[in-house]
Amino acid sequence: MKSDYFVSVDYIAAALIFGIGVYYFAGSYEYEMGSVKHMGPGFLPRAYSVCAIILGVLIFFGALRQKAISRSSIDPRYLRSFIMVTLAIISFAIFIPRLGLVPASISAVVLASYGSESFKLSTAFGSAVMVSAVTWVVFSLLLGLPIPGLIGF
Amino acid sequence: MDIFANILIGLETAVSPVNLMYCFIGVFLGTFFGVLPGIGSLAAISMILPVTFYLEPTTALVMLGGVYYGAEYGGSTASILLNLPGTPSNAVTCIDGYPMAQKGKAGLALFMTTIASYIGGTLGIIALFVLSPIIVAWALVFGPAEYFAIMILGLVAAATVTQESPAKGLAMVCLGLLLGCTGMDLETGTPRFEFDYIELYEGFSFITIAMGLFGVSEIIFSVKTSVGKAFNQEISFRSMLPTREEWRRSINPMLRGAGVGGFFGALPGTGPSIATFVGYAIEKRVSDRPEEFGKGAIEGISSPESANNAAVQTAFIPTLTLGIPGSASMAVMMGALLIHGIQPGPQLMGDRPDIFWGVAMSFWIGNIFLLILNIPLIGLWVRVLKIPYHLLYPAVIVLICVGVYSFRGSGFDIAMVLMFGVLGFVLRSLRFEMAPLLIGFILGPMVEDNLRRAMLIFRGDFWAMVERPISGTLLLITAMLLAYTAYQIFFPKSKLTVEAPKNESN
Repeated sequence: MKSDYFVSVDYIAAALIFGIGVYYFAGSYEYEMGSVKHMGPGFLPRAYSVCAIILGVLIFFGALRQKAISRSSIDPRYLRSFIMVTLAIISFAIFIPRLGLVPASISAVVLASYGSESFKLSTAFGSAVMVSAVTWVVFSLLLGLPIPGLIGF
Repeated sequence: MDIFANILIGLETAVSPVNLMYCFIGVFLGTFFGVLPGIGSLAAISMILPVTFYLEPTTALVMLGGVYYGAEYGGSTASILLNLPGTPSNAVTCIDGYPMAQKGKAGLALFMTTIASYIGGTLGIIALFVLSPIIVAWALVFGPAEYFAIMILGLVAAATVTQESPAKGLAMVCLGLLLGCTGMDLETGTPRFEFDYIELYEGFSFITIAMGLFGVSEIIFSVKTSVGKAFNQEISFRSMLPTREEWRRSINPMLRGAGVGGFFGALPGTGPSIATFVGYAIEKRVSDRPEEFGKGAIEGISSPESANNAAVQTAFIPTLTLGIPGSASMAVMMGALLIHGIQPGPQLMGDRPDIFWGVAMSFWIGNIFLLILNIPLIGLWVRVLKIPYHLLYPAVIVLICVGVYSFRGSGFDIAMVLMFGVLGFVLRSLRFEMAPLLIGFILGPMVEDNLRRAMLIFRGDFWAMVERPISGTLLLITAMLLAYTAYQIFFPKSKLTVEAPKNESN
C-alpha cells in the first residue's frame, strides 16, 4: 500500500483519543462524583475518560515503535465521495420537512451520485426519479408513514 | 424444560403467517444486500432496523435475524463469482471459491456453499436450543456483581481478541462507553453530556449511531467498489450438482466447520470471521491433499461457510440468554429489542418463551427459505451482481435518510446520522474498528447500572466482588486478558501478519 504521508495515522489516532479523554475528564467536573459506595453521575464518565487518556498515551507509544512509513495514512481518494455523501444527507435533511419526500430524495440521489467518478447527469437523474418514486410508494403509500411526498403543491 | 416442548412453542410462533412473511422478506433482503459487495451484513441490518419499529418485537427480531444470516449466505456468491467478499466473513471463501469458478465450477461452488451454510446454520441452531436453557439456569443466580463482571469481560474481549491493535480496540470501547453516558443519569435524573440539546436527554439514539457508523461511513469507503468485472458463466441446475466423490469430500469439513463456528460464535469477542479462518486452517492441516488448497479445493469452501453460519447462529446464545452481545451485529439486534422495551437476559426465556423460542425456530425456517432462494433462484442473484454500484449507493443513502426520518419525523436525527457517519469515516481512516464502539455504547448504561448497584450492596468494597466465585473468576479472566494485551503492546512480536479481512467494508 502506498503512503503519501510520513506520519503514521496512529499519532493522529493517539491525539484524538487523548483529546476526547481530556474533554470528558474536564466535562465530568460538572457532575457530582459521589463516593465508591454511592456513585454520582460524574463517577463513571471520569473513570472512562482516565482510561481514554491512558489509552491515548499507549497508542502514541505504539506509534513510536512503528517504522515511519510502514502504516498507511488517510487516503485522499475518498475525499470526493465523502464530501458528496455529506452534502446529499444535508440536502435531504433540509428538504424533507419543507418540500417533502420526493424532492428530498431527488436531490440526495443526484448529489450522492456525483461522489462517484462514473457520474453521468442523465443516469443520475434517471435513478433519482426511480428512487424517489419507489421510496414514496413504499414509505408513504404502503407503510403509511406520515411523510408527504410533495409539500406546497 | 423439555426441549421438544420448546420446539413446539417456537413453531407455534414462527409459523404464524405474519412471522413467516417477514422471515421471508428478511432473508430475501439479507441475501440481496449480502450478494452486493461493499454492503456488509451490519450495514444491511442497520438499514432495515427502522422499518422493524412498526412490527411486533418477535416479528422484528425474526426479520432482522433473517437479514443477518441471509446476508452471510449471500456474501459467498460475490466471493465465488467475483473474488470480492460480500461480507468480511466470506473473505476466506474467495481463496478456493474463485479458483473453482475460474475452472468452470461456479455452479458447484455456489451449491456447496449453500448446503454448507445450511448444515452449519442448522447445527448452530441445535446448539442454541440445547445450550440456552443450561446457560439461563446458571445465569438466574447472577447478581449485579456477576453482570458487571461478565459485561466487562465481554467488552475487553471484543476489544482485544481479534483486533489488530488492542489499544485502539480498547480506545473504541472507551469512546462507546463515553457516548453511552450522554442522556439522563439513571439514578439522579441529571442530564449528562447533552450538549444543550433537549433531543439528547434520552441519550444518543441507537439507530443514528448504527446507521452512521455502519451505513454512511461504509458507503463512503465503498463508492469506489467496481462490480463491473466480467462474469459470463452460465449457471444451470445441472452444473450445480456435485458428484458422489465431491459429496464425500465435503461432508466431514462441513461438520468440523460447524463445530469450530459454533464454538467461536458463542464466545465473546470472536465471531464468524475468525471462525472461518480457523475452519479453513484446520481443513488444510487435516487434508491429505493440502497442495490443492488455494487452487479450488472443495473442502476450502465447505468448511468456512459452514463455520460462518454456525457462528452466526450461536452468536445469539450470549445475546439472548445473558444480554451480552458478542459482536456488533448482535449489538444491533439487542438494540432493536431494547427499543421495543424488551430486555434480553436470563429472564427473557421464562417471561417470554414465545419470543425466545419463536425467534430461534424462525431462524431454522429462514435457513430453509435460504436453501430455496440460493439454489433454484441463484440466477437472480447473479443478475443482482451486475447492478453497477454507482447506481446503487445513492439509493442506499436515501433509504438510510428516510428510515431515520420515519422513526420520529425529526431532522435532528438525520443530522446525528451524518455526524456519526463523519465520525465513522474519520475513525476508519485512522484504522479504528467500529464494532467495539457499538458494543461499548450498548453495554455502557448497563455496566454503570450494575456497578452502582453492586457497590451499594458491597458498601463500596470492590474486593467483595472479586471474592465471589463467579464474578471473581470472570474478573480474573478479564485481568489476564488485559495483562496479555499489555504484554503484546510492550513486547510486540516480529510482525506475524495473518491475511485478515480489513474491516466491515471491502
